[in-house]
Amino acid sequence: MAALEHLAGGVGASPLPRAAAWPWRTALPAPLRRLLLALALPAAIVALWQWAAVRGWVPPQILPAPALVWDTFLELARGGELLEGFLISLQRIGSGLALGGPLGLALGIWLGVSARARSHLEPTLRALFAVPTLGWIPILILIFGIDEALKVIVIAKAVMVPVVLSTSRGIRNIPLAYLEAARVLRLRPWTRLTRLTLPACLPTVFSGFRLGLSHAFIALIVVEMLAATEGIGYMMVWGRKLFQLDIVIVGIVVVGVAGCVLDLLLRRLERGLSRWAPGHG
Amino acid sequence: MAEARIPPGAWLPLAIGAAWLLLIDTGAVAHPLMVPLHEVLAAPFVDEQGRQIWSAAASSLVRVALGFLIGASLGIAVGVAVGLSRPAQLAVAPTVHGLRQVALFAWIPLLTAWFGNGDLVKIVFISISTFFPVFLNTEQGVRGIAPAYREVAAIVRLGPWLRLRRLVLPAILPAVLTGVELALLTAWIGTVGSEYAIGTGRGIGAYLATARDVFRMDLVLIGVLVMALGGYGLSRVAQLLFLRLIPWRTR
Amino acid sequence: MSTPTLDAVASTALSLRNVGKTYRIEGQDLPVLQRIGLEIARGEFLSIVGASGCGKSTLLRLIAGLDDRFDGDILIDGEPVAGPGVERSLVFQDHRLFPWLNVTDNIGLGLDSLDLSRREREARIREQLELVGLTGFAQAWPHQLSGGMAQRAAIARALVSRPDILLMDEPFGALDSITRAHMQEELLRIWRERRITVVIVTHDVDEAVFLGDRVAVMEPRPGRVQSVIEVDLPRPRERTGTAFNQIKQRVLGQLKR
Repeated sequence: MAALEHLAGGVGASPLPRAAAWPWRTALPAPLRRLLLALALPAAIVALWQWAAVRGWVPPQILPAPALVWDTFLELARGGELLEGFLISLQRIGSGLALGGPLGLALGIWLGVSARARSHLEPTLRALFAVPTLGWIPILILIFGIDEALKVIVIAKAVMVPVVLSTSRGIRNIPLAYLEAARVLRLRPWTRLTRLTLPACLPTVFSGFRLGLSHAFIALIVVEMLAATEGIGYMMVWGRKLFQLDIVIVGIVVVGVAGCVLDLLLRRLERGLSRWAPGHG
Repeated sequence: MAEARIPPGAWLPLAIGAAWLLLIDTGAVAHPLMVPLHEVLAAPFVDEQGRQIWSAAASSLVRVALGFLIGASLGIAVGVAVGLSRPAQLAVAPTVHGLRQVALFAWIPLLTAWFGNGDLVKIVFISISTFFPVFLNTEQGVRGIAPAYREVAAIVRLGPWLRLRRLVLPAILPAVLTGVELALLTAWIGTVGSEYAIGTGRGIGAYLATARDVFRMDLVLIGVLVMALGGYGLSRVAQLLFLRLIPWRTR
Repeated sequence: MSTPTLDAVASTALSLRNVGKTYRIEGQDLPVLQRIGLEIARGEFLSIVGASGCGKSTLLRLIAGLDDRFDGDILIDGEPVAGPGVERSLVFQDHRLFPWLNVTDNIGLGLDSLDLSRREREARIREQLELVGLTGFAQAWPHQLSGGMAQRAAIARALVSRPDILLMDEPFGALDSITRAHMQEELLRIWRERRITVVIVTHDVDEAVFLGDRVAVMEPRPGRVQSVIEVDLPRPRERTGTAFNQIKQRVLGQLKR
């Protein structure tokens, strides 16, 4: 071993750049080290923030101290406003999902199965889908006003688009091998649907729903900010109006954490689903 | 085989257009929200408020260009820096990923409190919208540079600056352009979105907000159409750009 | 080459007369099969052997009813075929078991087009499992099975509807040679027990001669039946025997032409 190193040293300096050998590199286990590094930046930001607030570099209306934000968070949590807003937002997503999910699934199945439907509908649908949720909001506000129906419809639209696209793709991508086997076995239409079509496209459909849900979440925030009288999105707008940025920051953190948790849950669910149905790829 | 004169995809839009003309333009159905087709199409040219769409579109385009340039440059710079340095990766990436989880729109109240209601806040928002996709794709691109290339660069003893120019930047070009393509759409939505949410000033979003406030569906439709066309146009420009920059990439 | 006599026609299970298929690619006609004529007796075991591209798989698919655009006639018991039918089953080279169904449910798919009571269904599936030797694996998932076992399950699925004719498209091509030899013997046992007509397509001459009463040799471009060689050997056949190898050489000789 030493001879080889010597040889390498003789030919030239070690070819691969060596990372700086920090003294504590070997002292801590790798995952802990990674966690500390990951927290370093946010901790530094919060520390700077606290310092700036204490020193009065910026007025508290512009930048409330972290301590104040924390107190506000506890206040809102205990007072129930946070939970209330959260539940209302959750309910909206649920309704939007219940409306857009099945509709998107049905439309996706139809498009996946029928080439005629595809050729007739695809260009129009593609143009409609290309208009982002934001573009629909002014139109829908004029039609539905700003009550609950609007929010549910906006969220439903946000869910529908990825669901339609992925469902139709999932059905079209069912391997020909299985379709032929189904023909040779002369499966009845219902059996074909429940025992071939739906299970075969399940992973793709599910990832479409996962995408739809994250779009729904974003659409929820947008529509609550633009046209609501309660909910987390509204809470942020309201806090802004009163120039109580501590409320706004609490809102931002809640939205971020909720988004994180949602994403994690869905990933976990997706992995669990693929374990139950092995052989999917 | 006789060729169909009208492609099947055109049937639905034509049918809708025909129904529109028949029912609304003739006055058979009268409702403030059902605007005649010819009025909608004429509005950008004859209607006083309709004509504003042109300057509004121009404003939005200027804003998206500015915000995009800022956000993309930052995204590439930070992406390359973080991608090249392992400690930076571990320190910076988690924070950026965490911030990305916050729906972009949620930043607007905070930003308006800090930067007011004018052009500055909109450009800041557009920059943020652009930053995330560009950063993510660039960082991924840098990390994905095959170790083989890196070893060659090390053995040939390429200095850091030259290494950047001759190895890193060309190697990550496809990934960066993917991020840029994605960011363009996000930036456009961010532009119109922030204009709409803030409501003041000129731009397609502000145009939509005004149209909504005066209950004019024809103006809203025009605004949405221009928004869609703008998005489409930007992505086409991006595609053409990519074809020229990386002609070997087959899509 | 055997020619059908009047008596033989009465017991003919499958009859191919002047069967041809042409693909149209970019304005050009590509003949894949041309003037195929075969008379297969009931209970016969026919091997079809040929190099890649001779159209043997295409022919099998036509017989199975997967494709109904062809020239000529394909008759089953005198009736022309019109799509897949309950009297024919097809086993593919890849087992094509649905990965989200267990072995029992996969086999059960073969009964979907029949109207059987629950008890009958269960009885038949049990019967098939026993026939192919998979009784202990009724609840297993396809990914848990080895290649040979999965193919046996596919055969069970094909046989559960009690077809008269079993069509097999290179069913053992994906298996290793030891498993393949074992499966061939199993197939002969099933054939004897069930008294079905079997048409197997293979590129393995050894397999063709080992299994078939007759071996139809196909040549490519366009696919045609070049000759049909009788394998007049008693079973079980000795792969190392002189007679066996003589026939094998005859088949190989035909293929080289």
